[in-house]
Amino acid sequence: MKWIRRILVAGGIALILTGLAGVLRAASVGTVAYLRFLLASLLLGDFLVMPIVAIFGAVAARALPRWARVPVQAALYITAAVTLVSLPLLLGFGRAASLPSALPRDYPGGLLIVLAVVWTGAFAVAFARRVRRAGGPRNGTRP
Amino acid sequence: MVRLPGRLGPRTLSRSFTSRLRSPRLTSQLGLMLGTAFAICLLTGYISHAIQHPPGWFFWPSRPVNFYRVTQGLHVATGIAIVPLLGAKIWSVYPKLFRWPPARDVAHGLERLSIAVLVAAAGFQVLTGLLNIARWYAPMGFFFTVAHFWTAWVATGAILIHVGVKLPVIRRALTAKVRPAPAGDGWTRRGFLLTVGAAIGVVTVATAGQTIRPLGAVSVLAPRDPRVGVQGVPVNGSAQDAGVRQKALDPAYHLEVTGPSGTQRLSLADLAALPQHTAALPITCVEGWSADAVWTGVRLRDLVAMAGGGPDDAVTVESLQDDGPYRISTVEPPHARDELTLIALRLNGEPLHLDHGYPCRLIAPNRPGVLQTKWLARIAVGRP
Repeated sequence: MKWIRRILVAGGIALILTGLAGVLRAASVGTVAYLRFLLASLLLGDFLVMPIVAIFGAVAARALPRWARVPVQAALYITAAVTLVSLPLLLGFGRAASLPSALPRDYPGGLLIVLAVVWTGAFAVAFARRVRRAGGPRNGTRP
Repeated sequence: MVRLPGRLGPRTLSRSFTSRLRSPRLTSQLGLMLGTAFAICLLTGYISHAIQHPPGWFFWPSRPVNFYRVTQGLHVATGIAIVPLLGAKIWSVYPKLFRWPPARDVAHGLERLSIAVLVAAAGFQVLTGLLNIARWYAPMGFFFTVAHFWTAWVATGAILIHVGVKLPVIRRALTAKVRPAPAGDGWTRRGFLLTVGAAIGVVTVATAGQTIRPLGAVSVLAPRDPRVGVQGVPVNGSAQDAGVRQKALDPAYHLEVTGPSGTQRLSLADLAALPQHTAALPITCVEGWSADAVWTGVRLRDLVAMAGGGPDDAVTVESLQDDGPYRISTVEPPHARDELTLIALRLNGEPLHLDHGYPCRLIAPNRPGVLQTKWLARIAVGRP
């Protein structure tokens, strides 16, 4: 395993250097603009998206009864993923008058529909868990 | 879950993340899923790159007709699925970001640096990809395809290093006896993985209709709708933006066809007088959307034969555009001799709309849209 690990690390370093050399040589990719975006990609995820998700998750864990926690945290996570994916579409900066078939949909409306489906599902699961909790011991079905 | 300690400082921050769900096993499982997704993106991305910039050894067939549609649709759909997957993976190790002191020794510091490169490169690929399919180029400040290509090398390298460093931990985590799940109605590992799967399902169903037509009505967040566009087909580059309006509408328009037996200049009427053929071929964009269409026109191989070329010749097609990276494209022999490859004059029964390439355009099976050159000015047997 020692040799496999050495080969993986050495190969990885070689690939990173190849990629960076490609960026440096490419006339259509400015090094400063590139490194700026690379750094932004790192910071955005670690210090903006993750803290927001963590804060929402922590608030949900404190404020909600036990039976609602997991479904709501799951819905929050899915909400974050869908919002991130659709954000560039929602903002719509890619729209152009000369290209009406690009970004043809109502994206804010679309996001609301998706989130409505996700949260309806989450509430249904939460409700089922609550009913199970309330009914379980009384019916004597708890394992 | 996050518990805020009495005094928040660098020494206590990483201990304020209290979820018992985090474990090497969960992280390894998410890592396997993420690695698989990344491998799909890498392979399909390289295919798309190689079709457009073929290395000497590369061969791309003209059949199956929908093959590129599948590889590129998969590339974009998998890239979108990586968003929730990457989020979950980073969450599972997030407390380690705040470990204090930041590095035990030089080797540990270097390893953490390699993880920073991995997170940066993976984030870069996902973000630039999302911006590109939303056609929002301004925040990038560089040419997307070139940067996306080279960063794939960086990300792949960083993944190899990460796997190399973590291999013993991964092996132990995936082969060790499974710890019993915590009792009660808190998170279980299986529940968490199911939630990740649900998130992937939601973002996929919400967007995949841009290439899977039956999902068209359900994919309310798809950047494209294959049913929306002039003549029922979406457009990625308008005649106005390409600056070809005047030349394309010029009554004196001629298509120049050049080969070993000389040059011929064909008017639109000349082209329409040649044997016409009809083919159902998708227009398949590198951005991951695709749409079915029925094209009618002259077979490229008939024009090649007219110019004195043969079935083993490559063909260069040139647009009326004055510039742009996709002004010229090479049609390799498998596509040039395919009977489905047309110089199309009509789309879905009507003369081509200006935005679809009027007076005539190339349409070939199993080929990215950017290489289906529109507003043709010249066809030459041979390479540029």
